[in-house]
Amino acid sequence: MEVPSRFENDFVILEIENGIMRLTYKAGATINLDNAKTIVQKRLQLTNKKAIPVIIDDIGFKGIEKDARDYLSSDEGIKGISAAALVSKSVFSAYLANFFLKISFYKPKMPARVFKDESEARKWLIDFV
Amino acid sequence: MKEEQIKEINDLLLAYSAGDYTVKGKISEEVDEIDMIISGINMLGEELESTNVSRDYFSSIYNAVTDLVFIVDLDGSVKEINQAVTDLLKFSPDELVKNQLSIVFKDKDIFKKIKDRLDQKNQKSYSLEKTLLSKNKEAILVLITSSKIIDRYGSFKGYLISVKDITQQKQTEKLILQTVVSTQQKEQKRVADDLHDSLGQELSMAKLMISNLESLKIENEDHIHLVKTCKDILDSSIKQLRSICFDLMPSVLIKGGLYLALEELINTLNRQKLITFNFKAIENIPRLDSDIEIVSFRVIQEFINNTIKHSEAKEVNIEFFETKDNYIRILIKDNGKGFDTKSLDLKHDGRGLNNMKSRILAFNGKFKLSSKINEGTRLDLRLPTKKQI
Repeated sequence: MEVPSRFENDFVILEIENGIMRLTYKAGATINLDNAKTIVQKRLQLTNKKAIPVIIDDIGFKGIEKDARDYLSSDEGIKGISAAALVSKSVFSAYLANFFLKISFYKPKMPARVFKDESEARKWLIDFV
Repeated sequence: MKEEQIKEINDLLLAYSAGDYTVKGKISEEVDEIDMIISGINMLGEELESTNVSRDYFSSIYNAVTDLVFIVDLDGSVKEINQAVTDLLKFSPDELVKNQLSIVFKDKDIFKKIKDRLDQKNQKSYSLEKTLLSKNKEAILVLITSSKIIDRYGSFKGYLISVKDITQQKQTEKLILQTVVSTQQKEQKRVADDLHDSLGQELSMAKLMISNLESLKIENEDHIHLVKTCKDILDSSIKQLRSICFDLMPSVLIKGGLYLALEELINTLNRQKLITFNFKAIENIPRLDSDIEIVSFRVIQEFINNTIKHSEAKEVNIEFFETKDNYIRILIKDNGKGFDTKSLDLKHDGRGLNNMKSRILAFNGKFKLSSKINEGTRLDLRLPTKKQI
């Protein structure tokens, strides 16, 4: 078992365990462009710029601003992510996340899926470690 | 609280259904499940607004472009056109969309040519000059620039065909070429006249003086030999001067026109007995504009020189006649080894041919060169009998 690497600030927690990064948005957080750039920068620092799979837990956050969404879906924003699993316990959030994954603006250039259960997400991500 | 949130969602959806995507739902401090839904709808609204703005922005640019733009699918069928297409060609969008691109081009293989070039050569863009046809069959000379449309995921979606009307540009190029050729010809004529009138006269005078020396009947071997040598040198100089003047500007062309100049050229060539030249012409060939006569004479001279140098022909037939549509037609055909016109080196032979062609076209003539291996080469010139500028 490897020692998890971790980063935490006011709006996000990043932690790596068994080759998978878990990204959790903190309750009440709104992600603007600056926050999004910090997330990408810290993520790449933790992974030492190596591509690894990421679990994104959206519980608690208020929303991601438009320019932050654009940045996070850009080539720079997805750098160092081999695959992404979005975990959402809310049916509507899952529906919305799927919608964003399918429409052309945010259609990701790497494998991405929405899961209700984190263990299912981890199973799927193993192949991308 | 929940009731307020439900009302928030209700108002949001009502605003969106009315096309107002700027409205945003308020998110409470609790950030519960319903807030997540409101946040999701807010993000959706932002995307819809952004899409609308982008589309309107793109549409206004697309329709403001003065060049004609066709979006064509993978099979050559028109998917979209901009305003410039309907303005210039007078076709309505319904008449063009879902039809083949070739409907508006004289060359019906246009799409295949574009597709082949972009697919096989893996070029980013491909440009070519072609003739566009409007709804009332008006021909418009255009420059086509085509490229593949690749979406952000790398999928090939079709072709972007941008078409620029170059009628005015071509007209200007033609006038420039006419002026250049005409000025060059005037200068050559001036030099030829000067040579003839000054040096030519002096040489003739010197020859006359030498003849006077001969008539003095000086019985001295050395003197007689010297006078004869001087006379021979002068004869040769006069002959060479005539040849230089003819090459610069044949006086027979200026005075007698293309028909007489060609006849003289052919007589000279037949005296050399390299190739047999047969000349057939109708009587009363009208005089053409002097610039066209000189340009076409030069082109014919160049074609014949090439025939002598490269064709290995035994015979060349030249026909000279007037057509019903006010053209003088000159057909020259050799029985030489011919060549593959497609394999011409563009930097050398091809450029020479293109120069010949552009000079004839600049004076509203027509130029057609064809050749087949072992079947000889044929030049077909049509020259307007009235200046059509």
